[in-house]
Amino acid sequence: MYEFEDDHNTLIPGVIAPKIQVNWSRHRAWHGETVSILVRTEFVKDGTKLKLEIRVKDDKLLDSLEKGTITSNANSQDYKIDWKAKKLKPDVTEVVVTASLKTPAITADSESLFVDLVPPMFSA
Amino acid sequence: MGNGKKDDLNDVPVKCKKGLGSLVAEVLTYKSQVPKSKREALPGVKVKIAGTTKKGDQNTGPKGRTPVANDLEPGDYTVSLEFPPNMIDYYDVAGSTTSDTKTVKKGKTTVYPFEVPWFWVEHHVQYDDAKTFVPGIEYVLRYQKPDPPNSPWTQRSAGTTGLTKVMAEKVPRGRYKLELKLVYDPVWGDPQVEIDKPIEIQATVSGFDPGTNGTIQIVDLHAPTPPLHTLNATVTESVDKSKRELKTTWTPAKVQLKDLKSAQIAFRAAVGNAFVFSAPEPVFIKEKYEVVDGDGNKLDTRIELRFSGGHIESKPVVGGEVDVLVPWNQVIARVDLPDHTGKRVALDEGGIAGRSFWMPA
Repeated sequence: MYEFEDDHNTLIPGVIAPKIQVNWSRHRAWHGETVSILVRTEFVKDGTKLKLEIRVKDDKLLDSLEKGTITSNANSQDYKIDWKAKKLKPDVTEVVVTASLKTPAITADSESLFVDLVPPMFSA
Repeated sequence: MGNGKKDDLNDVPVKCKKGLGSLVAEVLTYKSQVPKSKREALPGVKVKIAGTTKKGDQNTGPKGRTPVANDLEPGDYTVSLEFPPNMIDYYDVAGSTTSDTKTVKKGKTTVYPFEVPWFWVEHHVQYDDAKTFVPGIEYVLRYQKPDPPNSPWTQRSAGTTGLTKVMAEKVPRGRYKLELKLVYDPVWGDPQVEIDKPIEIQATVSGFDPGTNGTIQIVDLHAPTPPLHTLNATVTESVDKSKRELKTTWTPAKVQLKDLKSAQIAFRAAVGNAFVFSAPEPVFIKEKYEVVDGDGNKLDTRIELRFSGGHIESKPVVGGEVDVLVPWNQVIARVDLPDHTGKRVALDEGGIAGRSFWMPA
């Protein structure tokens, strides 16, 4: 409970723990598609700058986005999957996005987005 | 007591008859436990004078002083303070000197200075880094009298936090409770949402009284607004009374989620201006599938369904029937019948005609 109690003649310090969560809009995507990155926070004031880092799970940084801010404890950004220049192996790549704020200093990782880097080929 | 003042206040008029003296009392106040804080006059304190010459009670005025008591026979005079009931809780009367005896001399005005500190309380809201103030949080400051024990809590003030601490001066002694008006810790009752299956939704609440109305909005994970569906709920106390909650049970209907574009929903629990977003939950629809062979015979087998969003359902088929949880807005991308490898499976599902899958041997 966010309730703080003390006697008169004291400073009662209220402390709140801000939180952040980040999700991909989908679990799977093809290379070239646009997906959304959905950030939700608790107790973060409007205008707080948001940093998003997209990386291969436990590995290479793919992109860093720092254009967003939190409004009404939310931020949603579209992200086009375009990693042609990143020299990735042509198999399915597991990608996570890390959302972080400087003040308050909180961070969260998304669950994995599975990206098929090679477009499917269908028989006629 | 004892502010270092000499007994010769410049603006105290001295009109003593020959051979007689006079006195004046001055009562000042300051912030308790802050000895160097600025002194303020304390008007409205009753002053009793006891000595050779009888004088009636007086009250301190706007400057914290009594009128000068003139025509006093020289000698010892005791000056005592008496606080009215409406002041006694706000000033540290018990911890202060409120009576003093001095000798009044002829031709002099003797000053009786008193200092009685006021009570205060301060509060602020910071992040858990203990240095960053958090503005915009609504709060209620409640107060509990020290006597009798377990007195009820009453609201003392309310407001919204800023970038500095809030100072409340001249408050009654007692216990203070800062309640932040927040909604937090959103929890789904199950790890997934199923159409037509009741699910419990709750969030913890502080600063709002039981009975306060709130809402729980079901939103598309992609878009916090507009809500797909809104549930009304009221703040209640948990069974063990350890916390307050906004809680309801929702039975999702397909029509309520008709505008759901993604396959996941979240809820936004709100009371007053406070709200919180839950983590996302996938939405499923339970559907019954028939599994028959080319002659229409019902099969007992095992089926594995892969959906377009990546979800996999692997279930036994009994008597040619199987209940499948289909993710919202997804179609079957592949069917496997592990007991029937090397055969072709025709699929009539999702309004897509003529689909079939070849299962490698």
